[in-house]
Amino acid sequence: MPKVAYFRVTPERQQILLKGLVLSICCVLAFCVRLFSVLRFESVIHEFDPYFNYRTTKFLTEEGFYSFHNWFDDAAWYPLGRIIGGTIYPGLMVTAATIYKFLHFINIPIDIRNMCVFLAPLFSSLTTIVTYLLTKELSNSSAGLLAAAFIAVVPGYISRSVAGSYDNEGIAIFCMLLTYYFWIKSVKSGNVFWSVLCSIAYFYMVSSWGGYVFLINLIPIHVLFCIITGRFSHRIYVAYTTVYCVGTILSMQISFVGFQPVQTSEHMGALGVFGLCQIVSFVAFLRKKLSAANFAILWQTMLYLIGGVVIAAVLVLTVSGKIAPWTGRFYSLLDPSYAKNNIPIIASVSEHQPTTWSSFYFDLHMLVFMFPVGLYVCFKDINDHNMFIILYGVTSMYFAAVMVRLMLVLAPVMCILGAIGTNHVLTSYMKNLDSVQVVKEKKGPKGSKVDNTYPAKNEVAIGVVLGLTLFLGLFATHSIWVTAEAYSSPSIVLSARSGDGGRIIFDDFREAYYWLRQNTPEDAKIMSWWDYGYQITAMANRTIIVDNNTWNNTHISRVGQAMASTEEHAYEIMRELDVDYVLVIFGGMTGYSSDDINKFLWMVRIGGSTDRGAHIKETDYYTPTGEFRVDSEGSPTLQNCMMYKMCYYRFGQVYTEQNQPTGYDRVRNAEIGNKDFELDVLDEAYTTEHWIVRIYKVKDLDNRGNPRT
Amino acid sequence: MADCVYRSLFNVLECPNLKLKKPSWFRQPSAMAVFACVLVSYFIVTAGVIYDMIVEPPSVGQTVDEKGHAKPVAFLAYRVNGQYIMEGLASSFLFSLGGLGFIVLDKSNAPSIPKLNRSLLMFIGSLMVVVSFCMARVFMRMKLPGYLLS
Repeated sequence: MPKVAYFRVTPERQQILLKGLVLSICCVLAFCVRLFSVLRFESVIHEFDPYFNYRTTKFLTEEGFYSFHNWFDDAAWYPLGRIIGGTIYPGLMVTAATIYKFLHFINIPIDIRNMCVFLAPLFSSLTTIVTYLLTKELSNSSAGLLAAAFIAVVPGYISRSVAGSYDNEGIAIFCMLLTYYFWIKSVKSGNVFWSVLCSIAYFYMVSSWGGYVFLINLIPIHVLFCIITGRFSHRIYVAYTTVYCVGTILSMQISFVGFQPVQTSEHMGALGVFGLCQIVSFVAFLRKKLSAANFAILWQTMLYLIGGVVIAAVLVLTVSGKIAPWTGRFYSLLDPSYAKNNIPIIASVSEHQPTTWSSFYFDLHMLVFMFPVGLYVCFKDINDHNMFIILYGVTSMYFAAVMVRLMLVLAPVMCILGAIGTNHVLTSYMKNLDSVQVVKEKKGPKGSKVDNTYPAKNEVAIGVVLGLTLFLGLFATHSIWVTAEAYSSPSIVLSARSGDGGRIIFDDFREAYYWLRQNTPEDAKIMSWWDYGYQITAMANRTIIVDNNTWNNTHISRVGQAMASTEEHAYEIMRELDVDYVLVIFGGMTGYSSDDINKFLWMVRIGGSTDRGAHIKETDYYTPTGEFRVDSEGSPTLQNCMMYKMCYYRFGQVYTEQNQPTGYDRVRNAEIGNKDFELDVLDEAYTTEHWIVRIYKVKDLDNRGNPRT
Repeated sequence: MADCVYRSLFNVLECPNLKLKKPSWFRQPSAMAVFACVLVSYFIVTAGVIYDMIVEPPSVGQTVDEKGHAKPVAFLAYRVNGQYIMEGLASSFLFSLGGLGFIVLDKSNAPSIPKLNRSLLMFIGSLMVVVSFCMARVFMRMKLPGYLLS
C-alpha cells in the first residue's frame, strides 16, 4: 500500500494501533455506561449489601488492617453480635482501601464514599482487557476485540457493577476471568510460572467472593474431561498439580474459608481429581517401564484395590460426619426445589428465583443467538482450551437457569462464545467479498477461478456482513436502553414522574435514618425486618436486632414472630430483645410496592418455622377463600397483628387518591379494613414525608405494673 | 507357612473365571453428537423449565373480555421475572432456531456444494436468522409494553 515515506506505518504497526484504539474505546465505554445513576441522582451507595461493605471499608481505612481482621461488631444482631473479621471476604474492602491510600499518597484526596461508588466501573474496564486477553488465547485477537466490546456493555454484567453498587461481584468477575486466563496459559504452556500466577489470581478470587467454589469445581471438571477424552499430557499435569496445591494453601489464608477446602464436599471434587491426576501419571510412567504382561497384572490389581479403598474411605468419612455434606445455598443449585421446601430464608430472596426466558433475552440480547454458534465453532475443532470454555459455558448456563443472580457468571462466557461465533461467521463471509478477492488476485500468480457453484458470492457476503453489523448495532442500543431504564436505580432514593411531567424524588429512607441518628440515644436498639439492617447500621449508626447477613435463622424467626403477633404477645418479645424503636416500610401512600406488607407473608413463614413460633400459621392470615387481603374481608388475625397496626396507624384518616375513600392503600388497591384503632404498646416516633418509613418507640413498662393491653 | 494356609484355602474355594470386558457398544461419542445434546439442553434450559418446575405457572394466562368470555393470554406482561410455560418454550425455540440459522449459513459457505443445495441452504439459513431475531424482539415488546420506547 502506498504510504508517505517518513511515516513508515507498516501493516503490523497499523494493526497494533487499531487494536489498542478499539480496546481503549471499550474500556472508556465500560466505565461511562455505568454512570447513569450518578448523573441522575448523586454519587450514593445503592441497595442494601453495599452499605455493609462501605461501613467495613471505612473501618478498615480508619483503624488499620489488624483491627479490621479482629473486629467483633456488637452493634448488629443484638444481643449476639457478629464476628466480622472471620465472616467476610475481605478482597473488596482491601482493594478499595489500597487504591484509596495510594491516591491519598499521591495527593489526590478522594473521599472514601466516592472511592467505593466508582470502584465497580473501574474494575469493569479492567475486566474488558482481561476478556480480550482470554479470548485471544482461546481463539484469535479479532474474536478478542469482539468479546471485549460485548462485555463492556452486556446488561447481565452491568446489573451488578453499576457505579454505586459496591458489592463483591464488582471485582469478583475480574478476578475470575484473570484466573481463567492464567489457567488457559498454563494449560497451553505447561509452565510452573503461569500456574503459580493462576494460583495467586485464584487467591485474589477466593478473597473477593463466595462464588470461588465454581472455579475450584470447574477447573477439576476440565482436567477430568481431558483425562476421559485422552488429552491428558504433562502440561495439564504440571498445571493442575501446581494450581491445586498452591491455590488451596493460599485460599486457606482467608479466615472465612479456613479449613473448608479439606473438610467440605464442595471442595472434595478438586481433591479427587488431584489424586486421579497423580494416579494417571504414575500409570503412564509404569506403562513405559514395565513389560506388557506384567503391566496388565499390576493394572488390574491396583484398579480394584484403589477403587475399593477410595469408595470405602469416602463413605466412612461422609457417614461419620468428618466431611460436611453440601450446604444449603450450594445444594439448592443441584436440587432447585430443596430451598422452596426446606429453607424459607433462601427461597424468599428474589435473586434466588429461577430464571425465565425473558431474563435471558433481557440480559443478553443477541448473545443468546450467537452462543450456540460459538459452541459449534469450538466443537468443530476441539482441543484442550476449547474444551474448557465449552464446559464453562454449559455449566454456567445450567446454574444461571437455576438462580437469576448467577446470570452474572453466565454473562462473560456468553460474551466469549458469542464473540468466537460472530468472528467465525464474519471472517468466513468477508473472505468472499470482492474487494478482498481483488487483493488476492493481485498477489496470486494466476487469477482466481469464478466459482460456478456459488452464485452472487459478493452480494450474499455483503448481505451477511451488513446484517451482522446491524445486529451488533441493535445489541448496543438494547444494552444502553436496559442499563438506563432497569439497572441504574439506587433503591435508596426513588423517583417518579408527577402528573405534569416533573420529577419527584423520594428520599424517605435517608430522612428516617438521619432522624434516628440525631434523635435517639446512642445505645438505642432498632428492630426492623432483616432487609434494612445494613443500611441502619451504616447510616443511622445504631444497634440492630437482625440484618442482611441472615446467619441466625432463629433470631430472624423471633423478629418475624414479633411482627406477626398481636401487640400483647409482640410486647413480650420486644422486652426480651431490649428493643427501643421499631422501623417499618410502608408503601401504601405512594404506591411503593416493595414494602413490608408485601413481604409480610415471608415474615409469617419464617416466624412460624421455629419452635417458639408454632402458634403462627400462614393460613390464619388468609381469607377463608385463600386470598391475602387487607380490606374488611381480610382475616382478623392479619388486621390485629403488630405489622398491620404499625403500617396503617392513622392511615384511615388520609386521602390518597381522588374518588377513593380514606385509607385507600395504593399498592394493594384496597380500602383498609381496620381503620380506627389506637396503639397500646407503641408510640409513633417519626413518619417520613411520604409515609414510606415509619418509626415507633416501644413504651416502657407501666409504672404500677399493670399490663398495657 | 502362609503358603500352606493359602493352598488349603484354595483347595476348597475356586476362583471365578471372570472375563470382564468393556462392552463394545460403549464408544466415545463424536464431537457433533455431544454438540447436539448440548443444543437440546440449551433449548430446555432457556425455556425456563426450572422456573416452571419450581413456581408451577399455568401454561397460558386468562383474562376476561367485555362480553364475559375467558380469553387466553400468551405473555405474562409487565414482568421480566415471570412467565407462562408456553411463552418460555416458544422463545427458546426461537433462540435455538437463530443459532442453527447461523450454523446453516456457515455450512452453506463451504467450497464445493451443488448450486441448488447452496442456494437452498443460504435461503433457509438467512430466513431462520431474520425470523428469529424479529420474532424475539416482538415477543419482548409484547412482554414489556414499554420496551425500547421511553
